[in-house]
Amino acid sequence: MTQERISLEPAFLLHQLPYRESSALIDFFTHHHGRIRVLAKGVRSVAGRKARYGGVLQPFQPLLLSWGGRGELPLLYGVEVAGFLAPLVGNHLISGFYLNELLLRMTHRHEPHSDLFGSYHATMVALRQPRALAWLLRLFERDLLAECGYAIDFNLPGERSAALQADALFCCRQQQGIVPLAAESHCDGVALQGKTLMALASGRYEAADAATVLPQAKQLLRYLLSFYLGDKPLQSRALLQQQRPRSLT
Amino acid sequence: MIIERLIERLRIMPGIGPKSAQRIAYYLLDRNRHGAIQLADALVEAMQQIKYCDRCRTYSEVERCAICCDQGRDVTRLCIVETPADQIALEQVTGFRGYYFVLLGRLSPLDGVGPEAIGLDRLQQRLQEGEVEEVIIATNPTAEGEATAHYISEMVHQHALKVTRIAHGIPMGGELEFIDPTTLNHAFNRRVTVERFNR
Repeated sequence: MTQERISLEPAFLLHQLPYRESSALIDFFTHHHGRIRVLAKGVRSVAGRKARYGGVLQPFQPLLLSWGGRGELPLLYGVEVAGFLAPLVGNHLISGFYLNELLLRMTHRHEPHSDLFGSYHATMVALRQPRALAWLLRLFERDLLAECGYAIDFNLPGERSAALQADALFCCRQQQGIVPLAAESHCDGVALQGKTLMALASGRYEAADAATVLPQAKQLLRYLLSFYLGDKPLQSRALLQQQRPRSLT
Repeated sequence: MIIERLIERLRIMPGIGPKSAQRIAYYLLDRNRHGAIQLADALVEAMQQIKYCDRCRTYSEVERCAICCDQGRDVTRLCIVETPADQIALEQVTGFRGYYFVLLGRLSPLDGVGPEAIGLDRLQQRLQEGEVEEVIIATNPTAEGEATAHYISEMVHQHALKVTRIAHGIPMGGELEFIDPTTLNHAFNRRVTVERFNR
């Protein structure tokens, strides 16, 4: 719970809920205070009155936030732009909603996640660059799992790092981690190759491996996330899938 | 009892708290009982009889709204708006003579509002009828409005039709210094050529 007033804290807007006539309840992801919800007065326009912070209070833009007040619901005092990022368009925009939905579903309020904030900020910048969208999402999912205490353990038991041969097969099971998969045995979790694990550990992959690494990483992270997200489907993921058969998430 | 119930009921209106509700209730009892009865009748009538137009989804007391019934309009152009209020705003100032499609919302994945909730299946049918040549997307320039515009434009492109998006830029009377960066960036990057004025 926030007691004092916080000034000019780096933050991103995650989601707005209309509240009363011209106010909103806004979820922000902040650098040092994790996810917070504040009451923002007068931020929606009503007849004759313009909305406060009109074009500034937008998702996917780095902001500087000031808020404070006692109790469960602090009050928003000010919003400033902290550097400008071009508006997200098309599937990158819907991917932005996907990242926000993940943060809203996976993090708890008032739990600081400084590293994850860095990762989110970097992802927001990268979403404006001509880079492979799917891989950006995978790396953020990796960081999110790690930050929430469900890190993928890339140190494998048994033969240790030597076992991480690019073509060796592994099996990942919910809550049991990743184990080498013996030839011809069955994996009831997600089967994947060493090169995918190496790519996720290092954040990069060889262009020639894209056809293996990308689908395997997607399957692995979706499998791991599904355990923590529960049965309720992610709306933004559904939207990305409906959009186009060409697989993006 | 009755008076408390009236005050409580008045509070369903936007921006009306307990104090305002009480003020309205006493005003109507003191000064305008006849007007209040007419209001009550109008409310019942409207709430029971106003439905959605079967073609454009705007509010209508008949199956098809007046604009959709107007045969004189241009069937090749279809303008997509979020709300009936947006439709009226455009209708009043643009001189647009095509037809409208009202979404009654916008795509908002984080609120669970998907394509069906905003009638995009209906829009799909409309496009399949084959009369529309240009779709003008007039959703709001918010993240959700842009996502909606993107989704619809993909849909329209599948029918190989022309898609346009309303421009956004500096509002009349605005000052560049105080304009938010996104708007300013957009207005600058999408600047338009100034034609020579010929008399």
